[in-house]
Amino acid sequence: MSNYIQIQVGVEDVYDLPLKSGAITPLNVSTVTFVSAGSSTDLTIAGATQGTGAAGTVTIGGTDQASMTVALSIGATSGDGGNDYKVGDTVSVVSTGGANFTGSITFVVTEAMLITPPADDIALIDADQVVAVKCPSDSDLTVDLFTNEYSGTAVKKYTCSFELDNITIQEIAVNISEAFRSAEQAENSQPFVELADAECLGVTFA
Amino acid sequence: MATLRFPYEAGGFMTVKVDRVIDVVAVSGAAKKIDLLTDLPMASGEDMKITLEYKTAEPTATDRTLLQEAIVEAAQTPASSEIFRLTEDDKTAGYALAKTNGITVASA
Repeated sequence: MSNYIQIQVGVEDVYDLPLKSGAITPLNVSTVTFVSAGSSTDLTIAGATQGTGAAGTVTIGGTDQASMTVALSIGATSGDGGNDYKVGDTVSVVSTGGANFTGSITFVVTEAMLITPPADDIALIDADQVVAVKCPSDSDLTVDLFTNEYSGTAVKKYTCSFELDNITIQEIAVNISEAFRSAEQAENSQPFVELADAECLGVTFA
Repeated sequence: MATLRFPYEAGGFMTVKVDRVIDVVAVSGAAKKIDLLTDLPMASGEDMKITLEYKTAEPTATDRTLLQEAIVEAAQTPASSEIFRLTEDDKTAGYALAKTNGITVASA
């Protein structure tokens, strides 16, 4: 006798995903002005039509405008890939402080720049283990479900990653919480989480 | 399994499992928070603590007593999931759990 929360994993549009961790090339730096060599992480990385929230590092090399080199790398931390970047869209990268460069670095999104889409699957979360759903912040692209287990260093949790579209991460958290409630209120029930236009990229337990 | 639901600033309700809660206490220096202490063993000598944080409302001693009573009642009513509101709750966002970190769980 167990209660499970079910989440549909997978994406409908494989050209509409977070950016992949690592270097982005090629870059258009024709409107970038050299300020100083160094690394900037105070970046706004936004698509012209869609795609926000990615985080990374721009490394400026050289000593002046003529010798300037520019490299952009997307971070490897969860959420650094942002949300909803689309193949063919032009993305602008701006440094809010402008310590190393001013102007806008741009690149056109290719399929190779996006994460590998997850295979279609149904993830099961043991609702009987779950204690509560964490309230996410606006910038989060994940929802955590705290469990009654301890890893030795922290409370174990399920972490669900999402690609958001026309829905907030808080609305997803409420929907997961509702599925949790529904599962707990009916023995052997296995409710699905209502995702609306969001897509679940995966569920981990750690 | 016994759960309670709490109003959430972003809309709707957040569900908390309260089966193993053994006490409801104030949080020193954080008037908007309530700690739900459980008997779930975590780190050595510690148990799980569920912290609720309201957007602006400051739960009173009466609220904590009522919450403890609601938890006892929920524990005796399997499959229940009642909504718990603070006594002064006028159904505005201030009386809801904070949008970010309204619920946290830790070993303590």
